[in-house]
Amino acid sequence: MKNRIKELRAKYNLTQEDLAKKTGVRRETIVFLEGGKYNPSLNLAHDVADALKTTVDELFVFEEKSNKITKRGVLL
Amino acid sequence: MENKRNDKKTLLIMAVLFSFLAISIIFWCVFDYLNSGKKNEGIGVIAIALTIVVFGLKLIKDKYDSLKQGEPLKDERSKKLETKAAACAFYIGIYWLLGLSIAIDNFGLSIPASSVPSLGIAGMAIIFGLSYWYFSKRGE
Repeated sequence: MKNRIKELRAKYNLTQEDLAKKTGVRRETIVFLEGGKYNPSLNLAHDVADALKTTVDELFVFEEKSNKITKRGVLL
Repeated sequence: MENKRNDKKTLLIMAVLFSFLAISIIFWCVFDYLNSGKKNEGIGVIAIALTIVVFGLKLIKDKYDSLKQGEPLKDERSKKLETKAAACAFYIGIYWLLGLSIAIDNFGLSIPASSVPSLGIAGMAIIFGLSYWYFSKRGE
């Protein structure tokens, strides 16, 4: 799952530590979130979106799964 | 505020438990050395014990530093990692114990029966540490 955390963090001049403090998580969690290596809970996604003055929908880019077709031709 | 107070308590309990562990290891090493009376005997065990002490000290120092910076001791990611690592340690630990008992019964591995639970617990702890590290590096 891609996201715009880094971009918006830079826009609002926030460090990873600042964002971590605002959302009540550890800095590593923000690092993994930015790298797309961690899928947050809905609560955390909402808190991060709130801290970056945006919405969850605009912050996280959900990959389209409807076009993925398996080898057997089944739509996912 | 309440969470911060709880984190401080948790860290204090961790430090106390670790101190007990460190003191026990030191006493054990000293008594082992005094009983065996040989300088070279048990160097491997002492090295392992020292590694545990150094690793524990570093862990507590890191936790203390992050607490000082205002970070929580645990968050949702670390809790998820703990759960995953605990599940992994449990499943692999069962097979580790099974393997141990098979090795003792069929391959002439001479381990006193009283040491088997300790080996099982130590194995689970090591698997927990390794899987936590692995899941932490890999991400989701």
